[in-house]
Amino acid sequence: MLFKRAFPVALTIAFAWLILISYLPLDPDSPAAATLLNVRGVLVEWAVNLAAFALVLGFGNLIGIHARRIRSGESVLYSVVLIGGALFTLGLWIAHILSVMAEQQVPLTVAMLDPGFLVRAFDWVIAPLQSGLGILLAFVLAVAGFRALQVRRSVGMVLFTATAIVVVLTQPVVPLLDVLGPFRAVVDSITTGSLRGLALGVALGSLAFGLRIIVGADKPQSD
Amino acid sequence: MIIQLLLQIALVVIVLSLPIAMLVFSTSTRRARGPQMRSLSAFDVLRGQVGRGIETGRPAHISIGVGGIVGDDTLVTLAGASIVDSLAPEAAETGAAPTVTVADGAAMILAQDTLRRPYARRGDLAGYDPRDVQLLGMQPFQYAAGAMDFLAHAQPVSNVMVGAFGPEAGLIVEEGVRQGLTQVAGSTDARSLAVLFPSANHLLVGEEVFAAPAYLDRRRGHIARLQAQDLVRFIMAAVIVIWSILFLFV
Repeated sequence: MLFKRAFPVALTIAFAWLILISYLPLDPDSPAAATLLNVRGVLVEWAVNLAAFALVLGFGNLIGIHARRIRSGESVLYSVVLIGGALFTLGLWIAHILSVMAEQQVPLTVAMLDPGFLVRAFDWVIAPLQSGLGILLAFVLAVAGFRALQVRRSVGMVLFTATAIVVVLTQPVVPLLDVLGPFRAVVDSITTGSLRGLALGVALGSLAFGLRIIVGADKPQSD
Repeated sequence: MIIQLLLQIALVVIVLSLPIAMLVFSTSTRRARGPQMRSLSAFDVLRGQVGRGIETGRPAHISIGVGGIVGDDTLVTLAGASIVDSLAPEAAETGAAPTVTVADGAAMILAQDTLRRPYARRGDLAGYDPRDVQLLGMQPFQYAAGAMDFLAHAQPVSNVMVGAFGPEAGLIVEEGVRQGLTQVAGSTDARSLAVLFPSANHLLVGEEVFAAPAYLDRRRGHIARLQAQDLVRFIMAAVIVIWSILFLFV
């Protein structure tokens, strides 16, 4: 039981410190630096392989959840299209690999690296669909802004609306750029300062949160 | 050259001062009562979510973002998982587990493990359902489409979104508004904060997403971490101001 609890934590701490030390500015020609870089490369490769395996598990989860929804009669059409689309794409990819193996006389591991089919699937189907959804964002944000102004009369909302108006009116297509230019400059400088403050806070928060993990004070991977 | 060296030394001092400050505050917190922390409405609302789930018979929806745990978003995803970690014990006790949604395979395993642990501690693994964690899509906008559909059909009692998000978060919270849900959102990304601001009822901005263990569980080490962060941030801000004033005269 102790081993089950302590082993993942010990492994995390050891690997985390190894990776951290490999980023220290050592002499790049020294054997220690070369060893650390090699170890880092191997560990990162392991992580990528594990993430790839997790992707397969995730795919199984996605299919399982939609299969359950079909059984319970909930959003049947959407789930059928999703499972059908996923399995159809998987089938096409397998067929593509087999054809590459037959045509180029290459082993499976090489054929799997051929991106041809996946690039086409992404460019022709996924990217346009995602762009379509992305375009909605501008309208959604405008509607949300107006609604929030009606419901929430806070200082934050007034600032949000004023900034949105200044940004819209200072676009190159609007002939008010010269008049409102100074206001835009004020908005930009406030935004830049705020973004730096946000980045500073996030950096410190990440650093402190990460430090607790690599010294074993927090154990997101174990009890 | 000298300025570059000074900046490097300042960076090393800051990095080293953080763990030292955490250690000092941790020791002092152990002796005294914990400090008074400023109220964050998002965490006040989060505390009641499992209870509301029991009352209404509908689970809470928790999204830990579209990030994974192999890459730049690791710590923000872990921060999102820390909220699941804080709510999971009550969920295991009452049997009203939240539904956690993710957009990455490794994040899915992390969320499943986080949700499972309290059940294992109670010796009630039969009560744990791995399908309470759902992978809705593997790209941000695919995930957003899946999450919108989930909010529309699963009728959760509330929508909690804390993790790595991009602008697609705006679409999800808008669906939450349409469904009349109480919404808590948090992100470290400026673009997603901008789209979340008008629609989310309670917003966690920037480093506030890392504060969940301190606020929800009152864990001593995490409270000390927040104190150390505040101290180092104050010092850094002072250094930046002094540095800027010096540049005006040099």
